Amino acid sequence: MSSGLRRLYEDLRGINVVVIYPPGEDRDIVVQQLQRIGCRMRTVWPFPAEPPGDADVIFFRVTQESDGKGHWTATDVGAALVALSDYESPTTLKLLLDTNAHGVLTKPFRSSGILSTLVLARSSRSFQERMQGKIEKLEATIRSRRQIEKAARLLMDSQHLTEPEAYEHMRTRATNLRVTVAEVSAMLIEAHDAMEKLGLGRK
Amino acid sequence: MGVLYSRSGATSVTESEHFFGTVLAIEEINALGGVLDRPLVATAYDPKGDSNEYRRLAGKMLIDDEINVIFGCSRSSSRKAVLPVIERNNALLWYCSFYEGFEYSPNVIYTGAVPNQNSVQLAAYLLKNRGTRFFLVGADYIYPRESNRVMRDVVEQHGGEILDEVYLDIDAGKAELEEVLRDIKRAQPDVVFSTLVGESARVFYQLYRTHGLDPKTMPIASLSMAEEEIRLIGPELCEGHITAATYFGSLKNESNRRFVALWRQRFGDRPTSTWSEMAYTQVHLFARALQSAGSLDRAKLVNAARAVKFESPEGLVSIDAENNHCWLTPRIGVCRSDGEFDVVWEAAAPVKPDPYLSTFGFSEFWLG
Repeated sequence: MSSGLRRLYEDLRGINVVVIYPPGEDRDIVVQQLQRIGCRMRTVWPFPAEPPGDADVIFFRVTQESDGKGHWTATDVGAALVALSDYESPTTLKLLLDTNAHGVLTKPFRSSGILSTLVLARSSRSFQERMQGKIEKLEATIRSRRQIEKAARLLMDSQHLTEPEAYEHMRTRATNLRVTVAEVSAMLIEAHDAMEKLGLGRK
Repeated sequence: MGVLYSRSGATSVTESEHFFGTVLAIEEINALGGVLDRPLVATAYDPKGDSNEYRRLAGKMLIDDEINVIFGCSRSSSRKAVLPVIERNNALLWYCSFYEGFEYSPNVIYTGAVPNQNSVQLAAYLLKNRGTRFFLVGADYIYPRESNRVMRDVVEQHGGEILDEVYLDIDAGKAELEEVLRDIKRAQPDVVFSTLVGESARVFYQLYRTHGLDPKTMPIASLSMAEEEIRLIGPELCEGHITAATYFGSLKNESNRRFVALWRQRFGDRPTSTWSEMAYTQVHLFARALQSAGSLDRAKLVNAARAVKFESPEGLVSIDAENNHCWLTPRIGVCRSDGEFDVVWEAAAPVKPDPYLSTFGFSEFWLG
């Protein structure tokens, strides 16, 4: 088992869990089970306008009664989100989907299932986070790839280089200047644009 | 009250011990006038080690027999099978076997040990006194797999080594057991940790010495092997093997003297063990809870049970209000040639049950 996966249930005693739900028997079932599991936890009610900042996992109520107020979604929050859902009616399902929660518990709540949902929600959240990171990195790569191609074309035009020579030139400069090829290409494009603006570009 | 233990099937010996312990406590309490001047009346069925039968018979008790409190189940599979029926009828199950934890139901009182009350202490004792090279062998179901997870984590965290981890069918026969014994002989571990159960565990112990393995230098360590099964194996074959449990028949206290005397009187020359004792103790906890609740209502009984304390044959026992499991005193015993165990270590006080503890850190690990 990978250490990343194990961490999801092994550090449950060190994480901060916030439960946003009105007081009562239903909340007690969830709160007491989280206490048995050994999480550090606190309850919040009424529904806060801003998500609690220090939480690793937030259990929060999803219900039509909230009139759409006080809902933030998984993309705004640095925590794993578990929805506590009152009904399974289509309108509640819509609200549930809007939250982008990583897990859901539906009334009537019971002790069993809470641990699994907690672990799965943390796992989905960290998977999503990793995927998001990967996407951002890939987008940056595509952007710089376009830039490098553009710079190579400029070099081929202005310096009468073949395509391999243009790339080789940028690589060599990057190595000498201890910067990336993308940065060299940015310099080339910037310099070219500046010359154009000064009326010194190639005719 | 309902009594639901298998008198036949793979775990018939140990579940019969549960049954006898339960009977002994009921008879003892009734001889003293019962609870609130009424006798405890038991209805017992034999599910024969079959999970479907457990579920069917639990349903029969709760619906046809109008019973609300059941004492029963031993392996986790049987508990999981009856749990939906118990919860749906808002009944109460008293479950006295040690198990792997990670469960809580408001409809169950768990009176057996969870891993923070037996496995961890056993691992610490073995690492400190026996060596660092472990061979794990178990029956293929949830309890052995979870026990081995704990054992492997703890051993590896503290500088030990798991040489192999082998699972056999729960009814594994001589041929499969002999193959494992040959592997053990080849691997030469310091300790064999066995979570085999029932007949195949007993045959494993019987064959151990004939394969040239010496319990005194290379003991089998277990969480379940207790006095009655040792008697069936032959105590002379078992001298030196190690068991972690919260009760041993050799304990010297007033409550145990009374328990052993009653047991001998009722069942003759058989030993008491953790299997019979926990079943006996939980009926006493129930009787005290019923006395103060004055009702068989599930919620009232559970609330009352959480306030009960009982000087049991294994010492002071109480039910944790947070998780419905029991505060118990972990002990390590080494088997003697007469089939009883010498207690070589015991906790200074009852240990809080922590059924959701998934990791066992360095702090407080080494036994005091």
